[in-house]
Amino acid sequence: MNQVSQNIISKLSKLILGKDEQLKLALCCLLSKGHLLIEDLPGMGKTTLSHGLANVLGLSYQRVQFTSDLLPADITGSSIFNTQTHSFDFHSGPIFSQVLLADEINRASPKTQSALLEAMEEGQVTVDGTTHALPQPFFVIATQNPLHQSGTHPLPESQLDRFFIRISLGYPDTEAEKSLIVSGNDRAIKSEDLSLALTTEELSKLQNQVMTVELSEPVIQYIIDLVSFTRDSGEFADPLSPRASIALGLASRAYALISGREYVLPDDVQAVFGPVAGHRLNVPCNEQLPVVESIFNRVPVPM
Amino acid sequence: MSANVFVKQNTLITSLIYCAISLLLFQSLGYVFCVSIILVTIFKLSTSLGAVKHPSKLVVNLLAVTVIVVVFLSLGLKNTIEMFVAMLLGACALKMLQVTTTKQAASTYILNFFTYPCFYLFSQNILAFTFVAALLLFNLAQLFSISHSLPIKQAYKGSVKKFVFSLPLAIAMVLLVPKLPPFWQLPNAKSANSGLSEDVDPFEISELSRSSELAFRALLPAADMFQPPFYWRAIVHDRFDGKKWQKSRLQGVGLQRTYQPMGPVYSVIAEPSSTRWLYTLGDGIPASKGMGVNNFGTIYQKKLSNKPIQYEVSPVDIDDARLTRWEYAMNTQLPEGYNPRAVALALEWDQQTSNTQEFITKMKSFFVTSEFNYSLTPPAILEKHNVDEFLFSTQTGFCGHFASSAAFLMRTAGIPTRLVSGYLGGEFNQQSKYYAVYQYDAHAWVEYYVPQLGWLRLDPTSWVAPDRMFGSLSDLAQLQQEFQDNLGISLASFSNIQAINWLRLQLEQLDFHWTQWVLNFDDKKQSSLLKALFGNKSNYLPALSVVLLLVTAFGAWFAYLNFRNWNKQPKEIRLYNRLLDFGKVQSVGLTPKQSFELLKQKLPDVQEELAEFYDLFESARYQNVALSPAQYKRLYYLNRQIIKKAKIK
Repeated sequence: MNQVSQNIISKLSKLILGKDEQLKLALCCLLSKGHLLIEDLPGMGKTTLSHGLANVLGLSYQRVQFTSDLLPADITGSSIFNTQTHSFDFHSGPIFSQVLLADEINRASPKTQSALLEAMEEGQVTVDGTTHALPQPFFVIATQNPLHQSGTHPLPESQLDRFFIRISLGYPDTEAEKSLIVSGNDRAIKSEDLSLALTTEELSKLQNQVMTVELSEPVIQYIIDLVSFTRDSGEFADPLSPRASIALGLASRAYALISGREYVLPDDVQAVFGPVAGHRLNVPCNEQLPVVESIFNRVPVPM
Repeated sequence: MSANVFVKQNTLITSLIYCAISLLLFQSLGYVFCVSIILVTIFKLSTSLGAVKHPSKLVVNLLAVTVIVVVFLSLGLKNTIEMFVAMLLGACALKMLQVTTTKQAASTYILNFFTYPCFYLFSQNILAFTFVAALLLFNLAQLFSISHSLPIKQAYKGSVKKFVFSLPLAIAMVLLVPKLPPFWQLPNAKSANSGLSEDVDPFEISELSRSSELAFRALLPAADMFQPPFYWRAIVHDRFDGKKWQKSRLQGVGLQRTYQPMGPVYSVIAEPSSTRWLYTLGDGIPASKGMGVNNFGTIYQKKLSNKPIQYEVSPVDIDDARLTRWEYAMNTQLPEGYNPRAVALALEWDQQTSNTQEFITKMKSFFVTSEFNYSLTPPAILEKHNVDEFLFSTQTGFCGHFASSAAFLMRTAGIPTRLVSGYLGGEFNQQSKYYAVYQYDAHAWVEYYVPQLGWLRLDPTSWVAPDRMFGSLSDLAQLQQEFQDNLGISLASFSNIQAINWLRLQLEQLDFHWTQWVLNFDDKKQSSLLKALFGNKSNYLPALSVVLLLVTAFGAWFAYLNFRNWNKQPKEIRLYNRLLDFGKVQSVGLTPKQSFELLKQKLPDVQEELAEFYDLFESARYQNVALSPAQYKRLYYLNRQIIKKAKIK
């Protein structure tokens, strides 16, 4: 199994250079059936990553560019009067795909954001009283700009909580940037030969495998210690919810699986803690590292 | 990062504490030192507020040299103890400037358990005790706070808990561990500057400095011989140079004979004083160690103490019926050419009378009929003929004036006379049955010699102010106002207000019990306590066995707690911890994998063993695979191997 995820990572790393850790986390998110939030400045490869992920996993892919005048119906689809049959036909929107890339989600109005997030949680869309199930698997990969950029609507805490993991790609290192410049913008061509042609069954098998990863007593204790530290230390206005604890357990299992292990180490928990907890604790991306470090320094690792 | 916040907070508080201690010891340590400590504290305050940069090592060292010079110059080598305490306080205060790490701070806090009790060198009353005890408790909390990175409030709760927990053992140790004499002793710090003076010159003093400080307390057994008036003898002045009454060299001669006590032993608890002389009712010989007694039946401490001392006195009657010719000359000696009028008067009386008693009657009628006044604030007499001036013009004075002029008149008439200073009276405490004698009860009177009878007491002041003989000076209604004006502000000056007087008496009583039972808890008191507790065996065996039992019980309990914790841990964790301890890796916040990476860096020679150890450890802890006995064996083997190899390197 390690082999499959290793393949995925190595394919993706041809696309996104020098960001293996983020790729691992993104894959970890998808294996845990969670939705992914990528927060970064424009031009850092957010779209490329999401595009690549969909391609690699062989999933149907739609992209919606969120703007301030985007309406909920533009995502979910709407009923249109058919003059032939004299009835309303439902024309499904871009959300009816396996991977939805919600680009720059924080540029849309809160109303539109809510419509999307509802679909994320329920796995279905209701238009004009009819409920339409979304295809399975269903992932949302949302990208957002840092909040200080103009014309953005921050996502409310409750909706942030629905994203399983938040990652930030950050600037590439010099070597990676050099080869980016040399190869130029041939992203489309590359995407073609990325495909592993993973079937849906194979993917769901992989997802099910996550739950078989051994989560030992000391690791569970460590997750609980970390979560209760955010609640008891008084340093955080929004401490972690039980949903966050569940997410931490799942993500560490997925991370261990990707790393080729059948059991979770405290190191896995540390690797996923920042991306899983950062946005739930309302810590900006650029401050995430020192905050997480200081938590690790103060919470002893149980054995 | 966070640990440093606690270090910063705590060191600032501690600097302020050092400053407070130095200011409280201002009188002993001198103002130059106090000012330098204040400056250091201000420096510390401004560094922690961020106004001034953290001082470099060089700056702190220069400051240290400065403080040493200041201490040397202001205190000198004569005041060893003061110098020692000043240096300690100065060093600690400077250390607080420099402290940055938890380890440095912790060592200073451990030293504080020694530094704070140095305050006891200067004062040991109940207030000082409470102060130092509170400081020590707080110090414990601060030590917790910095070493465990806890907020000070939380740490304080913990330290109080531990303090209360250990209190019974501490009390048992104090009560039951045999009191041994100290192996070495420090010279005492000078603490008291009150007390009687060895030279008496009443005439130059216009205002008797009256202090409401306690002089001593006396526990008198119920016996007929202990009835007021209580004349507490302290110093005998048998040399007169025309101005001052002084001690002759005879005072240094110890008592030659042994005497049978005339009555029951009484005990006195004397406060620290500036002279070595102690207080007895009439003649007395000491029944306690560390005291001497001279030919006059006055007793003294062999070594001046800076804490209250309790001693027992056997009342005796010193056989002084015979006076040598030399002593006779000594006690009638007067310098020539002083007070011609007084000399003439005395010689006239001497002509008219045939014996000493008649002479005294003559003198008494002179004092009574001339209407002398008793006053605490008489005019100062600075002329050469001071006795003349007092007898014939001012006619106002206190005990010293009357005693000194009476002695002058009697010596002129050839009667051997000497001046005695001490205390008169005492305030009786109804509840605890003791007499409290204050500095304002200081008194002076006269002793004269009659052949065959020996030395007799005569108090000329009583002719003028007969009330003075009974009770304390504070009870004298006639002098109330004047007395209180002289006292200054203290609780005693408000003693006419009932509530305050009650409060004063309660405090006084508390202090009495403190002094008697805590400060003066010595081997004697201990053995009587042990007797009361364990019957008449009066040896230390039962006491020691109780202490040993307590210590073993406590020790066993702690050992059991530790062992239980230790035993609960699986073997691999014990071995893992042993390795971390061996490699001195601080494992807080590190996962085992990270800790092992650190270990590998520290012990590069055993990387393979460490890796194998870690793999076994990982599968046992995180894979939930129970290790086979062979694997455990391997684990132990690796552990030994790693330590052995690393040690060789």
